[in-house]
Amino acid sequence: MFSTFQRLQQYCGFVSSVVICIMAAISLSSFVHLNYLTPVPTASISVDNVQVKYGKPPYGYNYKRQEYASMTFDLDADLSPLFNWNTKQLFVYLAATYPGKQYANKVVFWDSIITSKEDAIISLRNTTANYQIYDVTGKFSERTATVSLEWNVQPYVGLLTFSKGEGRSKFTFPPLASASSQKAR
Amino acid sequence: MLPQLSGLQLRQTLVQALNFCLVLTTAYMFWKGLSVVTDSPSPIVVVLSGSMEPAFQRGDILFLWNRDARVKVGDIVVYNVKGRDIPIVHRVVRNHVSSKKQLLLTKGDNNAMDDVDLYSYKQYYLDREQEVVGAVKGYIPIVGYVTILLSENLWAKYALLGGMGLLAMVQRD
Repeated sequence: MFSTFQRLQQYCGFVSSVVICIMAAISLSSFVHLNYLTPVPTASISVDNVQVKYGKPPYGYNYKRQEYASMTFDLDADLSPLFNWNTKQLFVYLAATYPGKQYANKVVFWDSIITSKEDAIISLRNTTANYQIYDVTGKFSERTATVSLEWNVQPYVGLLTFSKGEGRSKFTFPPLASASSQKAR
Repeated sequence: MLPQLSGLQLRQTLVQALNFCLVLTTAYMFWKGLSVVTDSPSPIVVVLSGSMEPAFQRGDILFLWNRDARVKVGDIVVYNVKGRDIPIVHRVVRNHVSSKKQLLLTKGDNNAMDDVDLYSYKQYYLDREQEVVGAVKGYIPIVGYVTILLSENLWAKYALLGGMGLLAMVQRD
């Protein structure tokens, strides 16, 4: 009655439906765990030593000459609770949010990929930002930025989770240091 | 060589053809329906490069969502730059929103530099409405590797076609 092909088809169908059910269970349980059962981690951030200069930003392919800001920061956060049975990696980043006349802005100035629970306890001192901040208008005009620690939890399978830590820090972009005063330093 | 088609055999052949059409149209409807629901021209994509490793490897399947008017910093978006036909999956690292439009800068997690050199000449930012196809919401590993195998290796294509042909010849039911 049943040909080999039909048996094979039924076997494959059964295996794939079992795999799909398992994946759905893993994904759903970790989604609930991350969104409802994990307390929001706290981040203590302090940004120091913000310097605004004029020229081509050292990082990146934006070759426009413009104002850019570099900085150092301290960061303490324990993100290990975000590692559960379905966490493949964390993509963690510090973002500066600041207003503008035409555009509201948010710029990442430091990021890190964390692949194990042990590495998820972050404690950084006097760390230099990976990326300089530059603005669409090319000028900062002494605006004030709010810094937050945010992350994306990448699962082995299922839904991606995006969230941010409790705790904000603020800094104001200093005025552009003139060429002579930069030399004097 | 050709068997005489009796009424019953003809009926069977037609039913088979109809079933085949049904499978094709169901798949097409599913795809287009998903497109409408997610508001994205390609709601499911297969990762083709290693630029987002270790989050995404080649052959992983991504599910996109495009109903949100603005994407966020940290989101992983798929974008098509005008004049380049390969869609790129990278993370948003800069976001400048006005009331009219949203400008984005993207970067692959595994790339040392940002994406400006992937954009058009003298283009420094992506336009959310014009170029972004959707943001990644769901992820299934490996499964999409079949399509990479088929599109990059001629032998895989022939093996699949040959196998299907062989089954159609051998199988009697």
